[in-house]
Amino acid sequence: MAVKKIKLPTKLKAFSTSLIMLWVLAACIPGLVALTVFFGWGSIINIIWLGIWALLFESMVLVFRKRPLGFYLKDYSALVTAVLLGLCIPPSSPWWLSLTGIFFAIVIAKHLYGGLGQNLFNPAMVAYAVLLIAFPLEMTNWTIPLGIEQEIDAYTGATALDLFRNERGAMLVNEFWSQHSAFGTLSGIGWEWVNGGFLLGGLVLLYKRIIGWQIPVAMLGSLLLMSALFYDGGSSASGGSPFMHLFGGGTMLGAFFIATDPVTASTTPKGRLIYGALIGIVTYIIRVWGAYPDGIAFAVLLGNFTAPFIDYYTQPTPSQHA
Amino acid sequence: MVPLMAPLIALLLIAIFFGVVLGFAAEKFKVTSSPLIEKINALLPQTQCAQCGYPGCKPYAEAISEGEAINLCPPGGEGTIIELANLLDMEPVKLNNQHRPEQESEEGPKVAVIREEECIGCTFCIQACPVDAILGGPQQMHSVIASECTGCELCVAPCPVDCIDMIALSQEPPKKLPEKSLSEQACIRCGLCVDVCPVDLLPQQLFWYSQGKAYEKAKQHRLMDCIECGLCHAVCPSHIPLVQYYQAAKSAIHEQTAKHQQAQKVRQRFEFREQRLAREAALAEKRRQARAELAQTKSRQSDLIQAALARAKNKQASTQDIQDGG
Repeated sequence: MAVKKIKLPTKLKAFSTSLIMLWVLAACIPGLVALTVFFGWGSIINIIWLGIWALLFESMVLVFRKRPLGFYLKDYSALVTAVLLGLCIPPSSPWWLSLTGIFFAIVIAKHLYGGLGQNLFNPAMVAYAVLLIAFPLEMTNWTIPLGIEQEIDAYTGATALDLFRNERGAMLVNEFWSQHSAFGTLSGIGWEWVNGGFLLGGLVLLYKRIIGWQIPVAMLGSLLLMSALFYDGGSSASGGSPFMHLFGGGTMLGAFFIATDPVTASTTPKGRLIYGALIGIVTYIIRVWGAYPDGIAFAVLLGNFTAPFIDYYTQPTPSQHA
Repeated sequence: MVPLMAPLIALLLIAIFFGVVLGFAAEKFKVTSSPLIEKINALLPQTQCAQCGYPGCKPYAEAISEGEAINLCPPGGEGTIIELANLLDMEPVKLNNQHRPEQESEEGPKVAVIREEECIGCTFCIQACPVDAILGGPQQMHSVIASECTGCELCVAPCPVDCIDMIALSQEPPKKLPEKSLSEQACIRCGLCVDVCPVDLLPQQLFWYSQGKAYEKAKQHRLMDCIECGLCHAVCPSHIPLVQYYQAAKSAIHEQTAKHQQAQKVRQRFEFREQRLAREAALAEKRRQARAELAQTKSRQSDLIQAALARAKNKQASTQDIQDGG
């Protein structure tokens, strides 16, 4: 049997699961900064609020399950879930919305399945899906970006991606952007910067080998391919420009932080490519032909469903190195 | 009426057609022995010890297929209960050691040994042994073939001089799953171990299956190809002693395979013994019939002789009468 060549990480002892989680938290900072610059302090307040409740719920369940408290809190996984959920929900979310969300994420999606490493579905995305279905109004009203001239009583509104989905068909893509000039010209004011921030953080994670390249590349690649295929030259039937899809909504957050959650993703090298591509395609389908403003959450949950199946059929074989 | 006729006739024809097909199939592909019973029997340890209350493993398998509890087999122990539960889609239950409740079930395998200087050659133990593992003849010393003995203890009770001992086989203790230590965090399936595995396994899946004792799945994921190099453990950010899990699983799989092979061998011996007993019984029956026939012919012959003698006597008597009278 041929034996493959291995590159070992250099600092073995220094690496730990807690450290991985801390790096993920750190990598969220550029995106969070962009969110704060364009949409105000809401996201940071949400994250702090969610973080407190995440730790409280986590401790509560650990006490119920008679597990050592300090040991499990130290892996920071609850904080990661809280931060990711905080980055997904609208900055202007009411306090009870995020509270409900984090309860579902930690207690139901994570611990009822057996805790860290045992959950089938990404806890943050389960919470997001629950909130989106239960409170559609609150979840689709994004804070209007700070740069836009606004009337006093219009503090929130639809995102560019959402508005585009609802109004397309009536006009050409160019007309849409000229009519809603307040959104900027690309994917809505602020959004390209937010996505750029998450892209930067994601690249750091890639560089630190905390995530593999396969899932983000496959997901962004398939999203790019789908949006290029259906761009249709900007006609009224267009699905929107590739740029709008890549840098609009939660694309980068989803590609680098959500879909790459190792617990719920496929783990074989080949499987990760399939898994990422599947999420990219489903995201596009939901965005353009579905009823929800963004498709990342549902696409990731669907991907989670298929991960064990994909893993089973993409087991590496030793003949690969023969 | 007319539009109703066509479907009625069609339905009738279809019914007849399927009736014929089903009837033909029922005859042609008749299942003589239930495959379920065979499957259950294959999982039983084949010690033929009758501790379940049935006269052997096959009868117990038949009883299970008709709803008997699956936890009556002490030699099989917990492993057999789990396998049966998997096969029959039931919940594993605790062992019910009804006939020898004082005994611990997980004592490990034993073997019968005869103290040969005390043996009086009565052959009672030979007749009791379900797998023909005892050699010897009347008035001659008996001896147990250790490699064939299933440790069922059925020979112990019949011995009139109590010269049979059950001796535990010394075995290497199986490798156990490692104790959870506090330096071991949860597996988050980060996949670092996949990248370093020199034989292209999926260590995180193997860990999952080894921990959950899902040995079939582990084998499908080529657990047996693991060279136990320990690289996965070295890179694991959760510091899980992965190799120890694999060793435990491998050891359990080896034990299971050995047990199944032994069971297979023992079943063959048991079936062979049953055939032999049946053959001997048939032979004895034949001999008995032959003797009976012989006896009958003999008695018929003597009857004939008696009758002839009687006739001769009568004749004599009548001639005498005539002579006397004449």
